[in-house]
Amino acid sequence: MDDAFAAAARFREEVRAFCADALPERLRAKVTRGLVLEKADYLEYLHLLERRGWVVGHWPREHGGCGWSALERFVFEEETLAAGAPWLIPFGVTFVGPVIYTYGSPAQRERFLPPIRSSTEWWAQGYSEPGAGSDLAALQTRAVRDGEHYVVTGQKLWTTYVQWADWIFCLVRTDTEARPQQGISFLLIDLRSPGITIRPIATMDGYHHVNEVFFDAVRVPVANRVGEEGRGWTYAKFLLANERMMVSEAGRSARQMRRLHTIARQVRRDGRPLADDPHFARRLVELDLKLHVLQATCHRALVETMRGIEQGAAASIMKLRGSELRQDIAETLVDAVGLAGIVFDLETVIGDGLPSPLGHDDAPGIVRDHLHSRAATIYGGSNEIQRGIIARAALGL
Amino acid sequence: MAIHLDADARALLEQSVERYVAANYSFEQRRRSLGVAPGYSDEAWRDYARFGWLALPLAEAQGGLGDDPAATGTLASRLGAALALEPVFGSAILCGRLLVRCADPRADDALSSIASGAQVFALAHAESADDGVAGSIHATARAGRLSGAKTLVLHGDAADRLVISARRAGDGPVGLFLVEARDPGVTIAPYRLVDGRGAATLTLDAARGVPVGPEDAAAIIDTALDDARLALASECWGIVRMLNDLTLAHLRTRHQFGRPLATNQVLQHRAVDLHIGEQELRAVIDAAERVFDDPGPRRRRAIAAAAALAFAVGRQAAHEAVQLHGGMGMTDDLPVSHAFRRLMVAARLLGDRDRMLARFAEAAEPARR
Repeated sequence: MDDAFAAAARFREEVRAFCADALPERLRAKVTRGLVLEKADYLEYLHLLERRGWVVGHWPREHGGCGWSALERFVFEEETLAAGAPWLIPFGVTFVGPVIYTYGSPAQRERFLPPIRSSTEWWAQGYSEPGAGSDLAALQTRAVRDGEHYVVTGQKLWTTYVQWADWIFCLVRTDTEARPQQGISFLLIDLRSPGITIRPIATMDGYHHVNEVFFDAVRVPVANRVGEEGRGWTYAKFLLANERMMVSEAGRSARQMRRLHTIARQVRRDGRPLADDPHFARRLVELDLKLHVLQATCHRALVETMRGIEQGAAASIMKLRGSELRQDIAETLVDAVGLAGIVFDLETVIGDGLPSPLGHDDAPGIVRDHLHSRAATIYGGSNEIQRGIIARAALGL
Repeated sequence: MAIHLDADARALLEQSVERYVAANYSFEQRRRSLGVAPGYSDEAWRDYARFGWLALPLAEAQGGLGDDPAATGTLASRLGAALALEPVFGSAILCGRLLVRCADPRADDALSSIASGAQVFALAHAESADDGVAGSIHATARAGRLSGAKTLVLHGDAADRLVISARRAGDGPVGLFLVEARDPGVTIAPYRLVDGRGAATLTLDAARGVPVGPEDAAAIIDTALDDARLALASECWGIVRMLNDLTLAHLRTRHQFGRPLATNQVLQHRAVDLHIGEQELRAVIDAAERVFDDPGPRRRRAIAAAAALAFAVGRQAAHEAVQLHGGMGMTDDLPVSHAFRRLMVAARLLGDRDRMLARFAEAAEPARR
């Protein structure tokens, strides 16, 4: 155990050095300022990681990863996000990759894992549907067996960055008679298949993050089903647990807090720095405390995981607190920049961005991040769902 | 003698605005004006003028009921619920109240133009993004010529005339001036607010200004900003009520886990908290309207309370509407996210919640001083 901590501490220094040396300043500035990242930006970062062998560092060695411990994985997330590295888009690397190496066939592993490692194939997640949001098991997209194919018909919703993806993994209903959770299968679908239509959804920040994906009698080889028919729910739960581990976003919140402190010292209210306003200073301290608590909670859960103690509700707690803190910080940043916090135009946050017409360089990205952050308590299993999970898993209610 | 709308007249005004909005200002109709110059519907603007709504905040002489804050509040709340983009608040309420309070015949033609909608007026007062309308004024007025810079002028991109605050003779008291937006001494840098409405930063270089109001207009500005804050609180209430109605309707109709969301007790309680906020906000606005004519600190305190609560309740209603609508609440396709952004603006435009709390504390009840 002590060895594991010593190793993680050494690894933390390694990741810090990597971020300091390898992360291009332009990319770091875009992330830090809250600008919109394009596929090319993410690719640039992925290629840097690839050279270091870190794209899939948390995968086992036999599948081309580094076999990171849970602690090392957390350290990597925390340090890269804190340093201003882009979000590691999780759909291939964190979600479908582990499902494929855990439950997939040897042929699937051989076909799908290498292009995830090299970032040459991008993935999207086909989970939510119009009638199946929080209640994911209510999904209706049908997959009907026809010889060596499934014929898939239905609609997926909130599909993040599917416009950049080559493949989509989907939960589909292969049995309408069974209990809702038991009739679901996990399919890998080539987005070039005939019958797929993608429609963008404009969100509050004006940018195109999410989409609707329509499937009209799309033929999917049975060979692209992961695991057994009707066991998709089990694989989905495995995947969602991974998703929740990710979204404490403690590193990101640490970065945003540094930024908030910097801005509060730069900005003036009533002739003095905002940071010297006792009321605002108190708000800053409360946020610092919440961040400290989140970091400690994550650390404790990781330590217990490594000791083999079952973590019933810990991931849900991290997701809840992490997303709430992210939103609190984002809104406080808007408050800090005064009137610049109500001026916004999408053009100011794309490309290399534009300064606010009110003189705060960072304000447009701060406004965008605030708007975008409201989704953090909705996606990945809403916070209401997380509280339900904790009620059952931790309290037995 | 102040004329006040009786309950029947108020209900009539409510109905006529609501009926107009329902027939002519749907969410889809509104969207067609968003992002297309001038950023609002000229047709709706002319209708408002024709109905006499733009005169409501003004004095009787201009056909208004400005001494009755409930009339202005009714208009602001109903147009607020429609997220109306037209410069009713910026022109008729903000500039209208300021010019009414100047009690100066030199403002008469401006007030007529506001009432008829013939011209759009914009207030150019704040100079610092950080301190907003509470900041100090550095723009100067020398021999009728104005110089300096003004920030976040609501509808400054579309205004015909400007009401500008400037320091007389360089370091004298702050006075008010009427300036033509097309004056060669005025440079307008337009931009968009997060809620889609237009605004601008102004640079003044010896712009020709006509003085209105007293030599020292500081007290008038403070009072008129409070008039406008009370209307802004009403606007927030209208938006909050609209949002809460949408949220409740969603909870009733959206089925998850085989039953309507509204059958979930946790969600019922959250809807109840939203309802309580809406009721409290209504009560605090009513209380402020009752002391609207009070010359003492009671008025200042009551309006600060209404605004402070409006911003907090607005924030809560916006957060919860997005959260409880789930992903749909994040989209540009529902009014929810537009209301969220409009409330963001309302809670900062004329001072944020911290400012309102400070004003509330400063204007303590006489007995507690």
